[in-house]
Formats: sequence, C-alpha cells, structure tokens
Amino acid sequence: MEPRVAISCNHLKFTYFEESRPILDDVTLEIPEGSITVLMGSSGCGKSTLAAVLCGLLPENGGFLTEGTIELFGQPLKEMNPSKRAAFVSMMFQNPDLQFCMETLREELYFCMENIRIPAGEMKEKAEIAAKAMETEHLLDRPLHSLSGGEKQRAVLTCIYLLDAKCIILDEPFANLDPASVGDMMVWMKMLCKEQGKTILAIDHMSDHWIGTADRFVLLGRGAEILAQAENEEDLEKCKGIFKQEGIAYPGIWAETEIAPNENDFGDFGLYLKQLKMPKKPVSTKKRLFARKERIPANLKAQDSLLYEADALFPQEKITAILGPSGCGKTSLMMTLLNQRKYLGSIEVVEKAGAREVADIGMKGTFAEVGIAFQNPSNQFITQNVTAEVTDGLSRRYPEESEEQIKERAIAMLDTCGLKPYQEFSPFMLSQGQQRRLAVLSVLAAGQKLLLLDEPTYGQDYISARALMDQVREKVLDEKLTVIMVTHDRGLAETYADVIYNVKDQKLCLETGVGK
Amino acid sequence: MRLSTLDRINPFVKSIVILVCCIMMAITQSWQVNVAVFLVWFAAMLVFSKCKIKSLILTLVPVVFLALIVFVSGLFAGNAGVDSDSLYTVGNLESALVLGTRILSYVIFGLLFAFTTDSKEFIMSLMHQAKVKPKFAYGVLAAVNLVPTLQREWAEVNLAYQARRKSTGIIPFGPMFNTLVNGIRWSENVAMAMESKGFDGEGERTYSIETRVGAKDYIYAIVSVVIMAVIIVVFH
Repeated sequence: MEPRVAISCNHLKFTYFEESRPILDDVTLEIPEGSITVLMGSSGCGKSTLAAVLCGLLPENGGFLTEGTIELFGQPLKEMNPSKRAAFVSMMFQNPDLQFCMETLREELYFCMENIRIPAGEMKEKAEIAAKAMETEHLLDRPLHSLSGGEKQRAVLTCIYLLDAKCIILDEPFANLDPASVGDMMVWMKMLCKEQGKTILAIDHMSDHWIGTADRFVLLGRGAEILAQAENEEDLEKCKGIFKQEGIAYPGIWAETEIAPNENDFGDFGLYLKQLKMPKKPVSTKKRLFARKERIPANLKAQDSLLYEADALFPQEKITAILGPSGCGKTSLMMTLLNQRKYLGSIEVVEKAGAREVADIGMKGTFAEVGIAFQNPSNQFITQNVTAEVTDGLSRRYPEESEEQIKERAIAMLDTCGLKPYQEFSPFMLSQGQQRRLAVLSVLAAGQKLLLLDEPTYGQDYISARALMDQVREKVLDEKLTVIMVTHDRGLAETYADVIYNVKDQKLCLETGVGK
Repeated sequence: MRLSTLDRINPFVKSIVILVCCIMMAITQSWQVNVAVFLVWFAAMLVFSKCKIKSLILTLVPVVFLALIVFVSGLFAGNAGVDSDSLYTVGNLESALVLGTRILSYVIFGLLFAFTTDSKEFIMSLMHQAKVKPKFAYGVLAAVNLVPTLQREWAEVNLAYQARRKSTGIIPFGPMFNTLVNGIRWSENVAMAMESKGFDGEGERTYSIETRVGAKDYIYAIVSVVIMAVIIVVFH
C-alpha cells in the first residue's frame, strides 16, 4: 500500500516584510507518512522558515504567506487552532534552553496536557507513562534549567511523545549536542518513526549523523528551492557536486579539505597543565566586598572534580582542539585559563621571557593577553555596529594608525568571512552564524597572543566554517597566535588542529600532536 | 509536607485582603495603630505559617533600619508650621513616629504574602479567580522560569565586557542592552515553543491545579478585616 502523504505544501511563497524578496519562493514538497526526511541547505536559505511555516507558527507570529497552501494529512493547516494542530505536528527547536515555560518536566507535561484538554485526573498517570517510554523518569522533578543540553532535548521529546503529534519537525536539534547524545537521539528518532509510525522532518546542515537513520535527504537552495533529493548513500555521493556548490557539508567533507600546513616548530613554549584539579563547583577568583575568601579544599576528591590530576601541553603558535562529551569541563577549563576559576595544581605559561603561573598574572593582565569568543556570540558585542566591533580591538592594537587605516583593516577582515555587506548593520541584526563569525573576528582583531574559542563553528554551514577557520589559521601562521578551541565537530578538529586532546576520565588524553 | 494555615489561603483572596487592610490603615494617622498591626500580624505569621522567627527577624533588619531613617528624617526635617492646619501640626515626634511605624506595618503585610504564597499558585488563582487570560498568566510563568538562564547570560555578558577591556560604567547600560535584545529573542522563541505544544492562549483548556475560594478563605477575609477594624477603633 502506498503510504499516505503526511505533510504537503503547494507553491508556498513567504516573506517577513511585505516589500522584500520572498524567503520561500514557490516551494512544493510532499512528505510521506512514517518516513524520516532531512532538509539540508546553507545558512539563510530559508530552511528554518520553511519548518516554522509547515508548523503553522509562521505567519501566525509574523510575516506573510502570500501564496500557496499547506495540508496535514489532507486537512488544511489554516483551519486548525494551535490545540488541534498539536495533534498533527509538533516542533523541536535548536536552543534547548528556550523550549519550556514551566519549572520541571512534570509541570511542563501537565501544561501540554492542559493545552490538549486532558482531564486533570488522568494527568499524573499519562505523564508517567510518557516519561517511562522516553526514559526520562529521573528528570521529571528536577528543575529544567539544571539539565544538560541532551537531557533538555530528551525532555522536549517526552512532551512531543505525550502530545502524540503525528509529525515531528526538528529545527537543527543537535547543533549543540555532543556526538554521544546525538547518537542517542538517533536511536529515539528511529524508534518514534518505526514503532510509533511518526513522520519526522528534520532540518540540519550536517548529514553525517543522519546516515543510516534518514530515509530521504532533500537539498535546498536559495528561497528553499529543491535542488536535489537523495534516498541512500549512493544518491548522496552523486549529489556531492551540488553540496560543494552550495557550501553544505556532506559526509567526509572535512577529510577532503586541504589547508596550509603549519610550519611553525613545536617548541618548548606554551601552556603547561600539571596535575590540574578543577572542582565541579566553580570557585571564583573575583574578590568580593564583605564576602569570605573562597578556597578549594586541598584534599579535593575526584568525584567533586571535572578534571583530576590532568596533564597537558598547549603548544605556542599552534591550534589545539579539545574534544569531549558535554559537561566534561571543556568550557570550565576555558574559564580557568581565563583566570575566572580557581584551580589546584599548576597552569604554567612558558615563553621566551620565562615561566609564569596563570593564577599569579592577575585578572587585568590575563585579559590583556588572552582573548575569548563565547558560545553565545550575542553576549559579547559591545557596540551597535558591525565595523565598530572589529575596529575596537584594532585601534587598541595599532594606536599609531589613523581612523581610516583602521577602518580599512576592519573591512578587509569582514570581507574574508562574508560580512562586508553588513558593515553598517547592528551586530544583533545578523543571523546566528554571522554573529559567531563576527565574534571570532573581533577577538582576532584585538591581537591577544592566546585565543580561546568556544565552539567557533557551531551552527555554521561548511563554507562559513571554512572561511572562519582559514582566517584563524592564517593568523596563527602569520601572527604566531596560540589558539585553543573547544568543539564537538571532530572532522573540523582533525582538519585544522595541530594538537587534539580528548577529555576522558577527568584527564586530557592526547590524540594527535606533540610527540606523536 | 504539610502546608500551614496561611499557606492554604487562596493567594488572590490573600492579596485582596491585604489591599483592603492597607487602605483601612491609610485612612488612620496613628502610630499606635501601626505598631499594633505590626505586632498582631507578626504574631499571626509565627503561629499560622511555617516561617521561622529567625528568618523573619533577619528579613526585618533592613526594614527596621529604613524605618529608623524615615523616623529620624521626619523628626528633624518634617518642619511643621505652627500656624498651619496640616496633618503634621501635632508635632514632629508624632508625625515621624507615624511615618516610621507605617513602613513596618506595610512591610509585614508584604512579608506575609511573600512567605506564605507559592508564585505558581498565585498565578493560577489570578487565572481562576481574577479571570486573567491564560496567555498572560502562562507568559508570566514562562518569564519567571527564564530567570536562571537570564542570570547566567548576564554574568557572561559582563565577563565579555571585561575580557574585551571595556568598562561597563557605574550603571551597566551596555550589558543591559545586550540582555534586553537577547530577552526579546528568547521570549519569541519560548512563545513559539509553547504554541507548538498546543498552547492557545485564549481557547479552552483543562487545569492540573484549580485554585478555589472556600469557607476558609471567607473566614480569613472576615477575621482579618475585623481585627483591623478593632485595632483602629481601640487605638485611634
């Protein structure tokens, strides 16, 4: 029997502003029931907009659907109210922090059931059945904000399971999950699809982890125009040309990426971590008025630590990548290197001029020598103008140059990452991917010798990630910077990093680099 | 965990009763009334709620301090004209006492509400008793639950300013702007997530907790107002 059509849309045309170019331009798509489809496309091609439109969240929350119709199982979407729609389609968003309105998963599940008008008497039992099915019983009564990214996404899935929506639309749900959690999610996706008969439509710009799970890949171009469709690996292989042209990553693309070799020698200089112990509960280095001076207990136990007796060398003038599961202390290590958290053991900066202990350098001194790009880029903009973000660092670095010269330098830097057309924009108006690139550029501009990059390519398509990393690489070679980056993207790390550490059993295990 | 008597009063009723008591108090001008109100409600909190005397006193320390400041400034600065017919002709001491003690009595009402009310239950009762729309009520709940995220982001924004060697000034307008912009984006995100879970805002829905107004709430309201009236009659 031919499967029914779950989602179908005809000649969709959608714009955010009445006069502007349509984001979706004449999109026609059919998703068969009980299948897993992955929509892929470069940043800004309209794939997220398409997802929101198919869910009915747009144009309800903004924008104009000027042409076209959407049907869910043959019923027009337009005629459904949110409560009825929830029976057909539910969505999972990219940022796991922003998907809940209640304090705990149990309350959130109750909230979902209230929405679809389930009597109060049945709620407790139903919530427990859903939690059992998705193995989230242990999360039910924990505050949602204390869960990890992976756990939060599981919690969202529990809500969706409970709502019993026939279709699930996922908008880059795995962008900030570690590979283990992604693998875990894939198992759930398969289960929901094969055993529960759900239709899954996922939006992603990485295909790697979907191989073996997805039934169909759809490649989107500008205006969400369908460029190609693939049903298996062979088909995918054939589409490589289009992938490349659109700047989207296909499986194994990083292995094929060639970059300039790092000719800088491995010297004896760099950051030496010796018997480093990092407590789970952060102990701030800040001095507070009236507050008792905090100390890490000298006999800190392994179970209270993130890193325990870890040794490592982050060599000078090289890129070091740190891989590892979420919550293993990668970001905390960055904060420690930035002199924000106290530690036990030693972190020594060894340079030509001699060796210094990080804790002795002082906060101001650290900021003069270390630059950082955070995970959430919109938190680190200090001006209202894209160019000014970059000139701020440049003018401190080249105090003798005139304003025009600085501006020229800034625009040249923006140009390398495709941000030149936005030079007069406010940084807050850029897309997530663009913001991230700008954040890294602004750190590069300031000219500190050590750069800490926290997930620099998260949410980027292949072309943007490459442009950004090429720029970082060039600065490492030319200006002899030392870069330490934290990432979940192994392919990227293997391509660009000279040294790779993997956090395992509270230690930093060397994978490639110094001495190997 | 057993709830205390005051914990079980409907939050909306509780807030209305407090409002009525405050208005009644506002029309009197007697420090004796203020002190009596303070003592009676302080005692009521100790007896009928689970809050501990230690935490209550600790919370009151800054309030007493504030009351003292008002009292002292009223005493010296409240320069009442001898010939005028204004309320303060009774003398500086009297008016300063009224002002100072009034702060105490208002605060004790506020504490009673804060110490014995669950914020979620209060919002639920606004929806059920005051007929506030679910859209608004759940919006407030969502905002309240975003606070931990907001705190984390705020710390990060401030660190970013430091890391980029930019002073934030005494009033950190820069970080405020960042957080505000983020906040708007988040609220959109959360609203979409809620809608995708079937939240309608205006349509019909069921409720996991339904707050009701019962006999105990009426008794509470009447007893409170009567005590208030007695205090006013006796001391005024």
